[in-house]
Order: sequence, then C-alpha cells, then structure tokens
Amino acid sequence: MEKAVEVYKLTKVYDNKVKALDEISFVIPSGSIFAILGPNGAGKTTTLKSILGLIKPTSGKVTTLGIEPFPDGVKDASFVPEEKEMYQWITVSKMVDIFSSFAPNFSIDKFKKFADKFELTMDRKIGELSQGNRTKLYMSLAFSQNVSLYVLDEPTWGLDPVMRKHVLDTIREMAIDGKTVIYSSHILSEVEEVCDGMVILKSGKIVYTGTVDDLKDKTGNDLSDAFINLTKDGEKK
Amino acid sequence: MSLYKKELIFIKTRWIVMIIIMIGLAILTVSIKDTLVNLINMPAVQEQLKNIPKGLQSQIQKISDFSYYSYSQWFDKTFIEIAAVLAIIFSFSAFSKEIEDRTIYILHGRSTRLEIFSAKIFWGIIACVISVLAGGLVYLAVADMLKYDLPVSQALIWTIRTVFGTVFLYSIGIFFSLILKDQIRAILADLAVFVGIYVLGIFAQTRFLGLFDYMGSIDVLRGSGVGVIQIVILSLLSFLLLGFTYFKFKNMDI
Repeated sequence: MEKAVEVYKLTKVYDNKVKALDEISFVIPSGSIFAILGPNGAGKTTTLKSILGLIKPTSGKVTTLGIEPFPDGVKDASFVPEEKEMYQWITVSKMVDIFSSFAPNFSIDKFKKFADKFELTMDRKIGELSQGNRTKLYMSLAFSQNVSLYVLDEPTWGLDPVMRKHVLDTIREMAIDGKTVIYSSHILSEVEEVCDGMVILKSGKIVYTGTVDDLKDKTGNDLSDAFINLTKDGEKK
Repeated sequence: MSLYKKELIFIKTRWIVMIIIMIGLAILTVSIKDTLVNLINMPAVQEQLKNIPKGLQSQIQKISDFSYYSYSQWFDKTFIEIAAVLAIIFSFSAFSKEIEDRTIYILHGRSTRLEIFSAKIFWGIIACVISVLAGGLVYLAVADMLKYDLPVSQALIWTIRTVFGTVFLYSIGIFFSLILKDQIRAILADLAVFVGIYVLGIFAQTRFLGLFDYMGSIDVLRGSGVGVIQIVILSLLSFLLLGFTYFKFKNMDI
C-alpha cells in the first residue's frame, strides 16, 4: 500500500498550552477517500493543518506525499479550509485570474466546467456572494488544480442537496483518477457514502481508525450511533 | 508572475493614492512659497512676530531663503511625515489582513512561505521607494520650473536619506503586521514606535537615534553629505528586521 500521508505520534500543544493532539498515529493510503471525524474541538482541523504544514508539530512526525510539510506546505496538494474566505472586494473572475497565477497545475478549462456545474456568476464581487456560493467558488478553484492530494475541511457546508451531490460525485471521480482526498465533515451520511477509511478523534486522541463498514460491523449500529458512542464523555475505546 | 501579480493588484490603489498625495503636496508646498513669504512680510504679521521668542523669529525670517524654506516646510516636515504614513499604509495590512481574514490559506502550500514573504515585501519596498523619490524629485523639478534656487545636491541628499529611513520604518511596520496579526493593533504599534523615534530625536543624549532628524536634517543646509555610515546602518537594520520577521513567519502556526 502506497502511503499518501503518514502521521506518527503527532502531538500539538498551542502557545496557550491547549493540547490539541496527543500522540496520534495513522496512515492514509494513496488514492483513497479518507475522513477525519470528531466532535467540535476534537482536533480535526489541527490534524488537517498538520498534514498541510500550516502548523508546526510539537512532537511526532507528519509525512505528506513523501515530504515533511512544515513550514512550506505541499505544492502537490490543494486545501479547502473550514472558513472559505477570499478577497471580498474583487470579482469572481479576478479571483480566478489571481489564483491561476500562483496555484500549481491550475486548469482554467477545468474551472470553467466547475463554474458551469456550480452555477457561479463570474462578474459578481466575492463579498456579495452567499456562504454557499463562496463554498462553491472555493471548491471549484481547489478542484481545478490537478494535484495528488485534496484536503477538504467541511467541503459541503452551506450547500443545497443538489450541489452537495455534485461535490460528492466530484470527490468520487477524483479517487477513481487515483487522487487522495482527505475529508472532514460533521455530516456522517456523506462520510458513509464516500469514504474508504476514517479516523475518529476525541479530545485530541484517536478513538477509532478503520473503515466505515468495520465500525458498523463492530458496533452493530448505524454510523451515527457508533460515532456518538465513541465520542461521548467518559467513553473510551 | 505568480504571487507578485497578486500583491501588485492589492497594493496598486493605495500606491496610486499615496503618490498623488505626495506629488500634490510637493507641488503645493513649492507653489505657496511666495504667498507665505508675502504673508510673513506684512506689517501686521511682522508686528506680531516681535512678541515671539528671538530664535523662532529668526527662523521665520529665514523662510525667504528657498533652501531654508524647502528644509523647514517640505523635507523636514510634510515630506517625512508622508514618508512615515507611507511606511504604515504599505505595511500594516501585509500579513495581519491575510491572517485576520483567513485568506492566508489560499496562499500557503500553493506558494512557499519565502515566496509569500518575498512578494509582499518586494512591492511594499518598491512602493515606499518610488513614492518617496516622487515626492523629492517632483519638489525639485517644480522648484526649478518656478526658478527657485535650490541646490540639486541638497534635495537629493534629503530624498535619499528619506528613502532609506522610510524602508526602515516599513520594516518595523511589517514586523508588527506579522507579530500582532491584527490591523488596528499593527497601526497603533507603528504609531507608538514612530512617536518614540521622534521623541528620541528631541533629547541631546538620544539625538543619534532620532531617525526623523537624520532624514530631514538641517545639517544638509550646512554642507553635510548623505551620511554613508547612517545609510549602511539603516540598510543593515532594515535587512535584519525583515530577516527576523521572515524567521518568525517561517516558524509560525497559521
């Protein structure tokens, strides 16, 4: 199995002494769709940021596409953060122009297809877009980069069911093309639908690593019940 | 092209506005010279001047000399004040806005931290240098057109000193923009430090630290040169401060 990401005994303590991650280890295989789940404050975003080299591990090691991602990040990866913030005062088309000037392997043709699919209006200012449209724009930009790894933090937040389906279909197509997708979401039905493997975090520690089916087999419940059982206070796995 | 294009687009409007202000005030300052001197020479004003301290009186009387006028009304006044404002305007939001607005995530990974830092610093420094040069050179050109007698060397020395001083002030601004991660706090910190530098220039014991005194020094009227040692020190300090800021950026969590 080729590894896209390897996280080994990763610990992150922020400057305010908050321990966000506590010696977590897991491997994400290349070409898989992998979910990172957990309740609020479990350490999902810190994990994603560590994988992308946005934050410096306090201890432990992260290897993303064969390199240590901190401090310069991974050029062969594309990130959609939880907050889909862009430059408010420019138009969508200007944003595409700017983004294409520095984003590696960006395809304008691919973007046009996503823009059609997501019904984006190119001449509107980003500040005038709804949260859903901002998410669609961010996703279109990220998906239009031909890279090996896509890291998506709450990618369907604010999208209507039709657009959500488009996003999930695109993620599936990417995996078929051999791309690796790391995915963080609160919507468990989506995870169940698209993900091959997952880790569940609770208070900075891993409480489950494996596949969705394995988890359901082991617990005999549906995914929501299993998730609640794993992450409720006092529960240890 | 890469990030340099983006940074140019983002700084362009501020840059154009600041150059217009700089050039406009340079032209205005030269143009009102005769009016100001005539005003001072009015009998009623001369009568009032007798009531002010002798030192100040003689300074005001010297304003009819164009070199002194240029020193007191432009190069040691408006010019360096705008230069300080330029340093703040071009630096305060460079990192703080990207971090505050979380747009830094668009850049990181798609560019290395060195590329992000270099692109921001490059245009900031270019904008400061060109804006200051515009103020100094336009002042000189307008003075020449209006047949005022201002030695070119004097104007160039003040301008060059102010260029290096502004780059140093810009470096301070960049440092606060990154460390404080907040636009308002970055501006306030810049202002506090700039006022501190100004105050240092007032006292005899700390005058050598008075950057604004160096930038718009009266010594230039007495034949003082550009001050190579000061320029080397300022360049070195700017370089070290920017280097330290990059080191912080390279090692910080985003």
